[in-house]
Amino acid sequence: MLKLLEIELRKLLPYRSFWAAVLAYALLMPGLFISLYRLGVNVRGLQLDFNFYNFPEVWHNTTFIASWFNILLYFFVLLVVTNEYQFRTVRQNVIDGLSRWQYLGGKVMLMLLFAIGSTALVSVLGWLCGMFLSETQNTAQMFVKTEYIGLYFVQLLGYLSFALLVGTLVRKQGMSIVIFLGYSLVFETILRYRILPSEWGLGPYLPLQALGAVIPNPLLASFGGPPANYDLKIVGVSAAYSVLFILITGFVLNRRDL
Amino acid sequence: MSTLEIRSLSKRFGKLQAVHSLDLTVQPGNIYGILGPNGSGKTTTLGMILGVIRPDTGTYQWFGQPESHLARRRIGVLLETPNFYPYLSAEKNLQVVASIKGCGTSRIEAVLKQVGLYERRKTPFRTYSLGMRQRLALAAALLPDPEVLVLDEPTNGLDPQGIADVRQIIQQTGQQGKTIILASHILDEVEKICTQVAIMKRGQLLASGDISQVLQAENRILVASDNLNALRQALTGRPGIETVRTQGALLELVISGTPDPAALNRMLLDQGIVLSHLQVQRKGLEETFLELVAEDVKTA
Ligand SMILES: Nc1ncnc2c1ncn2[C@@H]1O[C@H](COP(=O)(O)OP(=O)(O)OP(=O)(O)O)[C@@H](O)[C@H]1O
Ligand SMILES: [Mg+2]
Repeated sequence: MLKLLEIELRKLLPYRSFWAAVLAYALLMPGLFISLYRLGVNVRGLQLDFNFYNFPEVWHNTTFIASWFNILLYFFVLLVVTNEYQFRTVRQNVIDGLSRWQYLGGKVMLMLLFAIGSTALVSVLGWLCGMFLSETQNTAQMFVKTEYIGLYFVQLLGYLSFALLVGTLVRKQGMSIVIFLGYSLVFETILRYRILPSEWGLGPYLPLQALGAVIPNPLLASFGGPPANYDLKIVGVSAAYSVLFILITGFVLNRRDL
Repeated sequence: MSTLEIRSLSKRFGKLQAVHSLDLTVQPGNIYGILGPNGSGKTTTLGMILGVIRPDTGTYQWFGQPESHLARRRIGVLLETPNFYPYLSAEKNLQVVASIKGCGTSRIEAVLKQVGLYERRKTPFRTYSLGMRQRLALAAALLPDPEVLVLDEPTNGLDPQGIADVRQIIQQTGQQGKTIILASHILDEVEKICTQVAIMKRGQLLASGDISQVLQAENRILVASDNLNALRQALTGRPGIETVRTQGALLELVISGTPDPAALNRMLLDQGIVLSHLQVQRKGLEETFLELVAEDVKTA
């Protein structure tokens, strides 16, 4: 398996777009966190002051904000996957001696690496924010709610697996982005709220609905909404979707002429 | 043990039967030429035995083993178009190939020199000309010092020097006792290099086997004497001689069966005709190829 990762890294490390994405990611995410420090919102004369960075809420808040940012990673996975079709290098890789499952294995390893890297970055940033940008010195609570880091990982891996599947099915770069966005923003929303009868209760378990709900929005509670607790059932379903997306990708890859 | 054994391999693209129940055996050390008009299914066949096109039916075995990606690591391949990462240099692209093949990077410099790309090894593949791309693909095929080379139109886009280089590489590799499977349209090239040929048309084999057998299908003898008319009369209608044609100062005899120039000479001498020219001529590969392909059209 490490051998497969080595092959992927040989393809990726000299790739400029990769470093551009890494740089953008590693600079913009801390930038975003800092810019949200002591955010004040004035809603109809009502002054709301947020501080996202008090322990233990910092874990929930930072992972939630970071998850919005991960669209960059989804697009990068789409790019990497569709590139292999555009350059016809997936065909060459198989001719050279990879089995199709090994080829898939390499891509999954790469996604794991991205997900682990991103999760590590968020953990470090979350901890730094909690240490230096919080208003309370509530460090006794430092390790409470750290499970949000795990949730972040599950969610990210789910999205990346979805990008892998879409990229493999569509093969064309531009089209895959259109379909990725169209499915996630439009199709599932219509399916959930307009087509599926709500009494079936299936809507929340549609793939991207479930993935989107892994880390519930913590800000609603600040506006007096219900407390945002995560739902283990949703988390489990999301993890299962990752496996499913990867398996479907494998079956598609195995049946197809390259 | 055969190097490659193909058993009734078939592939259909929609309505089009690209390869139809194809059988082929390649023995170790063969230099096997695969010929056929455009669209006859050569690339499709090679794609199937290299694991990128899924056959509808049929099987193949490399080195007597069931189908496996591991066999492909022992094969050097140039299939149709060079496929590389455009942003990677020649060197880096070959490193990717080496890590997939598990063959180490020590030969990279040697193969780049062999195909004349060493000076440009650091520039990205994207900037290469058509011929340079083809050269890199050849370098990739040679990289693992493979037991078997599969080359699909390897001279595509190459300059005369490049074509000569490819011929030399193939001959050298063949002399080392390695097996080569070569699909090509350059027939005199194939005739010079190959020991076996298969001729395909519309996904089927028209002929296959040792090149001498395939070419022997019909033989001709060229004769001349001082009195061409007497000679023609003596030969016309003889059993074993199908046609007699005038070719300038010579007569061309199409012989059915194996030609026996000694018997012919004796027979004519008995009749008092002395030959000033006697030459057995095999049909060239090009002619055989064109006739086989055309015949099929008539019968189809
Ligand atoms: N992916 C595909 N989809 C549909 N048809 C295809 C596909 N690939 C090949 N074909 C068809 O299959 C037939 C055989 O194609 P193939 O590429 O094997 O021919 P070839 O003998 O290699 O020809 P050439 O000498 O031009 O390289 C052609 O009619 C081609 O149009
Ligand atoms: Mg072809």
